[in-house]
Amino acid sequence: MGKVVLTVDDSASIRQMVAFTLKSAGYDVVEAVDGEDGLAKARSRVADLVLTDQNMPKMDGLSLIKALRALPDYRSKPILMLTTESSDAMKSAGRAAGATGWLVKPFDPQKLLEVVKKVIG
Amino acid sequence: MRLSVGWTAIAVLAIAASTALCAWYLAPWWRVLAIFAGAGAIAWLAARGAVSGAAVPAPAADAAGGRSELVALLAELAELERHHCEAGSADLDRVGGLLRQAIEDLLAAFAEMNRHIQAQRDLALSIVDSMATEANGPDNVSFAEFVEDTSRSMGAFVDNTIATSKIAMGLVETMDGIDQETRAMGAILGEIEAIAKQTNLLALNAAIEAARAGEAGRGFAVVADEVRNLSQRTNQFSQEIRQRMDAVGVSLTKAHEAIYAVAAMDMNFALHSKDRVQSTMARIGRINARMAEAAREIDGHATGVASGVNGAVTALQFQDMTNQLLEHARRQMALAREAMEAALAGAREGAVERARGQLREHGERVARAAHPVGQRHMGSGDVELF
Repeated sequence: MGKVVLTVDDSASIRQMVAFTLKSAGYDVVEAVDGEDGLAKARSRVADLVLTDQNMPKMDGLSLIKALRALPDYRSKPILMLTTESSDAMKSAGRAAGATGWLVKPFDPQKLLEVVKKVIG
Repeated sequence: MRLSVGWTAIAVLAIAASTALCAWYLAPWWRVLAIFAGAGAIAWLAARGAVSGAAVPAPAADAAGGRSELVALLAELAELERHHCEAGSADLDRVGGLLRQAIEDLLAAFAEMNRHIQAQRDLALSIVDSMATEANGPDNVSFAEFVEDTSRSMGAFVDNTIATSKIAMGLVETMDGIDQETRAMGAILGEIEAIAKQTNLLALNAAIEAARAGEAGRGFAVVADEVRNLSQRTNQFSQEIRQRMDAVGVSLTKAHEAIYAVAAMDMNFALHSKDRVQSTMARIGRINARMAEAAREIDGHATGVASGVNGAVTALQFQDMTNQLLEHARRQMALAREAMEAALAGAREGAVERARGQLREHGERVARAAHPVGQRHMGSGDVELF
C-alpha cells in the first residue's frame, strides 16, 4: 500500500487529474469534493499529504488548513494548496494558516509528482 | 416635460450600468455597446450638469408625472435585464456542463491511452532486457553471448576437423612411403629367389662332379646336397615372404584409399558447415540488433506519447479555470440585478439619496469581487514550498 494523498477540490476533472498523476506513481489517492468533505475524510483516514483547492463551496482551502492544523494527526503533516489563486496576499494568508507550499493551476503532472515525492517521498 | 435631474442621473446610471454588465458577459461584441452606453451616460450627465449634482427646480406636477414614467421605464428595464441575466446564466450553466462532461471524457480517454502506452513501454523494455540478459537455461547467458559461444564452438570444431584432415593427409603420404618400401622389398626378394635358384643349380653341378670323382668325392657330394637343400629352403621362405608382402600390399592399398576418401570428405563438409553457421549466426545477430533497436524506438515513442499526455493533462485544466470564470461572471450578473432592483426600489419610494448610496455600495462590491483566476495563459503555474 502506497502513501495516502488526500486531494480536495470541487472540480471533478482536477481531482481526476491529480488521481491519474499520483496513482500511476503508486500513491493511494483519496478524493474530497469540498473543505467539509475533506475534513471528514481526513479524520476517517489519516493522509500523508493533503492537496487542497482554495475556492470551494461550504469550506474553502484556508479554513480547511486551519481546521486540519487543529487536529493532532495533522499538526506536522504537509498540506499543499493547489489553486488558481496566485496573489501574494493569498499566499501569505496560506502560509499563516499553515500551508506547506503553494502550487498554481494549471499544474504540470510531472512537476506535481516531483513536488509530492520531495515532500513525502 | 421636465424631469428631476437627480432621478434622471440615477436612471441613466442604472441603465448604463446594467446594460454594460449584461453586455460585457453575454457576448464579446456587446462590449462595444457597453462602452457606448457608459460613454453616452457620462456625456449626457455632463451636458445636463448632473455630474455636479446640481438640481434644477421644476414644477411639482411635472416632476411627479415624470417620476412615475421613469419608474415604469425602470421596471420594464429591470424585467428585461432579469430575463437577459437568467438567459445568460442558463447559457453559462450549459457551457459549464458541456465543458465538464467533455473534459471528464477526455481525461478518461487519456488515462486509458496512458495505461496502454505504459504497458507497451514495459513490453519494449523487457524485450531490450531480454536481448541483453535473456535467461536461456540455468546459465543465464544473453542471446548475444549465445551467438558468440555457438560461433566459437563451431570454429573450434571446424579447426579440429581441418587438423584431423591434415593428419589424415599425412597418413596417406606415409602409406605411400610404406607402399614404395614394400615394392622395394619385393624386388629384393626376387634377387634372393634368383640367388637361391642359382645356388641350387651350382649344388646340382657340384653333386654331379662329386659322383664322377667316386670315393674321393663322397664328402663333397654330401656338402653339395646340403647346399642344395639350403637353396630350396631359401626359395621356399622367399615365396612365403612374397605372399605375406602381397597381402600387406593389398591391405595398404585399401587403407590408403579409405584414409584419402575420409580426409577429403571431412574437409569439404567442415568448411561448408563453418560458412553456413557463420552466415546464419551473422543473420541472427543482425535480426537481434534490429529487434533491440526497434524496442528502443518503441520505448522512445512511448516516452514521447507520455510527454504529450502530460501536456494535454496540463492544458485540460482550462476547464477548471473556465468554470471559475463562469462562476465569477454569474456573480457579476447577480450584482447587476441587485443594483437594478435597488435603483427601481429607490425610484418607487422617491428616496434618491438612498438609491444613490445603494448604487455606490454595489459599485464597491463589484470592485471588491476578486477575480479568481489570475492566469492569462495555459503554461503550468508556479510551485512554491514555504
